[in-house]
Amino acid sequence: MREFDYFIERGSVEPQVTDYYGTLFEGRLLFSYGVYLDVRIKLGFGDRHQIDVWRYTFHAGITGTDDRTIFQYDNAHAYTQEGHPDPHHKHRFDPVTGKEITPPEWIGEANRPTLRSVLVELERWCLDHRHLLER
Amino acid sequence: MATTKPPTPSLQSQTDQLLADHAAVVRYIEFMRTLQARVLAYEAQFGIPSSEIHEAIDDGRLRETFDVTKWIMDFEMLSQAKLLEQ
Repeated sequence: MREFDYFIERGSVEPQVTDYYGTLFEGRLLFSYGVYLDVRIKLGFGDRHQIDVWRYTFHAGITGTDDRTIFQYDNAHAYTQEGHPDPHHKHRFDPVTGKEITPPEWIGEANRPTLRSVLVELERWCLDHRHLLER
Repeated sequence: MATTKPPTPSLQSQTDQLLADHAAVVRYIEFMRTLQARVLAYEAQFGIPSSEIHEAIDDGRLRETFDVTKWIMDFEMLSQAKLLEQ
């Protein structure tokens, strides 16, 4: 996370509780222009007893009078009717209107995001949409 | 072959360990109570029982917002805890 120190203004992601199955991490990171990232990750044990991510949700948004979502990655629900073979997907939103672009985009288990990859993407989004943020 | 007996932990360190274990159990119970309250609050907020979350997303009654993903995770953790209790 140190490499993002210049980008993250405040906030943290901390362990909340450990149960029989694993540990829940949760927190909000805040950036310039009211941009934030809500993180919730449940770590557990995988097939070979390795520590693995069971459930995750990364929700990027902008606070303000109309709190709007930038994007959201999660594996909480499987969009099988839309042809998704597993529950790893991304919710996309129009940067101008803030409306969700449906259906969610399947990303697959092999491409599931990490906190680092999400921070890289959010930083890129902020650079690309600075004109919208500075309004 | 000579064997060496492992040193017996001191009474103080055994007491410290027991207190730490007890604190962890208390934290866990408190979290499960919070989880239960949150799941009930989500059910009231969205007007859908937790057992129908996935069905409701599929048929368009519920949008999978960040709150809904948290609800799904909370309900799963609660269900797993209840399974362990049985």
